[in-house]
Amino acid sequence: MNNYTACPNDETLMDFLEHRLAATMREKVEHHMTRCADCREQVAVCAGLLSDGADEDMVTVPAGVTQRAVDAVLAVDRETWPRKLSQNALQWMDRGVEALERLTWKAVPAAVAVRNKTAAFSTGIIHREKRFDDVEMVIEIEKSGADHAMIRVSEKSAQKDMVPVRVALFRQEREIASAVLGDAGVCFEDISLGTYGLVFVRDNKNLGQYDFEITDQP
Amino acid sequence: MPDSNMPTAPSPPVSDTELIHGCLTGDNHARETFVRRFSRLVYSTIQGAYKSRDAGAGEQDIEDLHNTVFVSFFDRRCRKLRQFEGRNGCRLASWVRMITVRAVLDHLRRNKDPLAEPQRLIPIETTRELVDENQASPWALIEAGERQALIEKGLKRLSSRDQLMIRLHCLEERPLAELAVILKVSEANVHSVKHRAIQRLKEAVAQLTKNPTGTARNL
Repeated sequence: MNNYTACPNDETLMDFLEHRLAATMREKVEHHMTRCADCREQVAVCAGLLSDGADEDMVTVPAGVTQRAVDAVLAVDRETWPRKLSQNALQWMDRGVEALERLTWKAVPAAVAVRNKTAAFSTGIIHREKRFDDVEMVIEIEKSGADHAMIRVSEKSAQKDMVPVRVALFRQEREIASAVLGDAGVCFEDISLGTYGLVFVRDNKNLGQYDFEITDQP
Repeated sequence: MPDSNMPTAPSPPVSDTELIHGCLTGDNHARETFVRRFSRLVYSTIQGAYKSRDAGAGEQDIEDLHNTVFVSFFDRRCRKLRQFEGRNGCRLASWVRMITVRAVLDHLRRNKDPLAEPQRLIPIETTRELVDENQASPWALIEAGERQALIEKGLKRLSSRDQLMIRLHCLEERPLAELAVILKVSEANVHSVKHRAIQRLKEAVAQLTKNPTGTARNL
């Protein structure tokens, strides 16, 4: 048996599954699969779909999904290199200036959201307005306990007829929560002190990231 | 409301080769036709792959992956799309399905959450029993470890086909129907293929316990 350590490409795996490979090649792929759990799983899941007689005609794709995929695909080449370069430069400048914002509760009063029309202020709130691509975000971090906070995110001026922005909250590169930004914004509750990143994505496009550390030490 | 997957303008059906050629030459109409032709296939494959892994997915997750798969074909000057050759008669749709399955599995591996695996979840009241059981039988644990090592050694002496059968069905608990597709045997026959593979594994393990340094030729 020859060594066949590199994973076969997707077409070879499909040829294997649909029995189009020559005997020698088939044996090589079989041998590879006995040692590669990832390829084994990929072929098994695909075989499961074929054995179920998965008929895509029976599936209803929700409204707008195909059109959004068409728009995303047609936008791939629209990003010319000068535009990409300028965007990257701006992003790197942003990161350089503000790689990690260290936030702490300051004695500066800031407006807080209340149900009635009475204006209210709190010193336990941090208010930031950030621009990502063409979207302006309002980020509020409010102290909700001795070592806990809540993070509210909303769009400053929501754009109608646009795909909503998805906000994901990361802690040490692990996504701990995410939500689609509606008209009312989103709120992440019971967030302990630490280092976080808010990632903004619209239509599969990463708009930007806001990294910050919440600390109770000034 | 169901989505319309038909192209906005009526157009004559194009072959896989023509479609790919159009996409690679930057023809936006071909790209749109590509997405509309395979949108339902990609969507249903994502749903099926999630189901196969017992993983829950919201509509938004599926749509995100759906877009990611299509963008991946055209990203970096169609790098992925250029890989399709169709050399053994592979249909474009089959290839798209396989790529979609890979995308879902990669996504699930990247975002692996231990709490999302239902088989790992056990009722809290049974944890004490588990601890007691483990503490009471250390020898059983050692024996189980040795037995597993012996099975691994025995497996290496089997043909790739037998190994696949045992790994996928007995160790990874994939249903026999999937094995029937992979090994190209009927669902009725797959049981005897399984039985023969297990029999050969038993013989290999028995041979190993008698002669631990023996080679496969001894079998």
